[in-house]
Amino acid sequence: MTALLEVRDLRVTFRTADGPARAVDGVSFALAAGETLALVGESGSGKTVTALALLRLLAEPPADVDPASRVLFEGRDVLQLDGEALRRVRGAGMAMVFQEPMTSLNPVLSIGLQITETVQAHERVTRRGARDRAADMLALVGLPDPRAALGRYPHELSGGMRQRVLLAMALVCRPRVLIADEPTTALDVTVQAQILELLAELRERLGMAMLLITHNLGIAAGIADRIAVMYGGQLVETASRQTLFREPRHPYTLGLLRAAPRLDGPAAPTPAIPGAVPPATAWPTGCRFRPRCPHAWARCETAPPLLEAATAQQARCWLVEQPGGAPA
Amino acid sequence: MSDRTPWLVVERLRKTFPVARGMFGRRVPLYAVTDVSLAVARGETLGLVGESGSGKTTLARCLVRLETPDAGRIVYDGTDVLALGGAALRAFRRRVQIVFQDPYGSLNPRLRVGAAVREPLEIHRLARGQEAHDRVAALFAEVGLDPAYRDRFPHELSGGQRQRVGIARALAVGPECLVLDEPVSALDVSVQAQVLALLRDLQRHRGLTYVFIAHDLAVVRQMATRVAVMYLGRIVEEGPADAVLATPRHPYTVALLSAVPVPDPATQRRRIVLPGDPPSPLAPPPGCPFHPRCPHPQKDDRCRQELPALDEKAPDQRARCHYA
Repeated sequence: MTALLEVRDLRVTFRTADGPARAVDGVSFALAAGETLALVGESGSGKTVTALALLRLLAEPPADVDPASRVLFEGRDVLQLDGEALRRVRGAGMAMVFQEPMTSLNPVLSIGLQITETVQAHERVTRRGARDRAADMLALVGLPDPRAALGRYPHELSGGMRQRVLLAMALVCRPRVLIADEPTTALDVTVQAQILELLAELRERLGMAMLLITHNLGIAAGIADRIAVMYGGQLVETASRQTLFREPRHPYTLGLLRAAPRLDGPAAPTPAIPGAVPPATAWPTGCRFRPRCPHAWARCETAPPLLEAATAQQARCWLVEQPGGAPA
Repeated sequence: MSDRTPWLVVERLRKTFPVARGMFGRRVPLYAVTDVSLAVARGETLGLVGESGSGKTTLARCLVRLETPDAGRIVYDGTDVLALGGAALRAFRRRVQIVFQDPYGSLNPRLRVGAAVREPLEIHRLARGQEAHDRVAALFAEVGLDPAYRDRFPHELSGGQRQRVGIARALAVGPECLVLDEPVSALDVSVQAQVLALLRDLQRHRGLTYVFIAHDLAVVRQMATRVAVMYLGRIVEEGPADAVLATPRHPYTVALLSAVPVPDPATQRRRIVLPGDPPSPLAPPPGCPFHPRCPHPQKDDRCRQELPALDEKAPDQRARCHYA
């Protein structure tokens, strides 16, 4: 498989009052055409900053993207593009949907205008042509009476309907990669189920690849081909979803899996991971998970690289080389 | 409810809010809580579940007298809560406290967190001076916070630590009952489990009664002894937690449970995807409030016209459905 999108050693630092915050610190991954990769992590792990950097949506400053970082989309480095070339990648190349549909839509413009504007920004089409495309797209994402919906305003729609509109806006230029940042987090669980179903269906019909950013392992389990777990601005484990849930190799992945309350299995309390995610201005030295890790030992004072744990599975943990467990 | 002595009883509670609609601001009622009755036994945890607009937060606020209901009764340990005023109301507030979802929004950003925990002690004249100082230190220790944090401001704490401050503040007046409104929803999974463990410990040591409000059914499953499911201002199902969550009777509860993503690719269940959005509490549908989205095969005109009663469908388990 050749990669459609390849991220190499992405590093993003923010200038803050407390000093430089290394929010994304050496993230590399590849996404093949039609594939879904879930980037899973808790708040402060760097997953959203990663997504924003791919589309050059970070304000610089305060963000500072390392000049050695590469974001290769169909072989071209997005980080080196600007003007027209960047706009082309953002429309038909990669598009993004955000968590909070109310703040991503302009409250004083009609839905129709916002979608046709998107089409016209990226392609040479007539206004009528753009309007037809917008209506088709609204129909595709399941908005009832799409023609009438073109004239409506964001506040007239429910949260679920607004998220459908955002999807229509992201998909109207037929991107090859959809980046979805917590697309269902702000929604009720029954509406979340609708949107997840819709995402899976659109992915099949449009044959696009998807980068799904989520804190919810259950959502990743249901929709992703591969999962990458982030902690402390780095990937700590990558694996197919089957392998990740069956045989996690990083103690943080295991901790997350055990901490997640679930409806199947025993109703017993789930064990917490002690402590909290450290701030990006003060990552611990050595392994960043070390202060919270139940297995930490002397070697963890040296930062581990991503190690090959099994076929197509990597973990940033010295235990990979120590299958018998940490020495006492 | 055979051997459960009711401690907190809610009878036919209703709360509407006047809402301005349209250009001329015609006021129409929003039915937040339409008709809710429930009973909580001492020392148990009632899990109150529902999506946005179900009325669960309004109900919580009525329980602690932050809202005054339009109709109905709330009886706590034999006292008619809605009739209380003055000193009696203050005494009630010492017995029943509320913890909010987002301690960032409920804590004064310019007040050091130690002072925030001390404040209720002074308002209720429970302690002052050195004694208040010592009580705050003890409360910090009890909720697992380093007492050295008392001089910090809310923004200097992590989400989990802020929620511990929120809990300490509620505990300061020595309550018997806590109304917990989405206490862990704003927290990351690894931290969520820490706060849930703390709440369980506190309940055990202090013999607390909990009304635990959450939209996350998996969290409720860990905490609750009984569960009540709300939809559009009414309870649609109620019973022992294990029964409601393992063998739900109401089609809404069934769909809600099936919609929760399972963190395991090997056991992906069939999701029941309900059509549409929850209806607006401004215009609740006639008949069964769930009928426009209900997937039950027997759904008929009766569901569209006649509100089902909350009837017993299994021992001690009630559901508001004609055909469950």
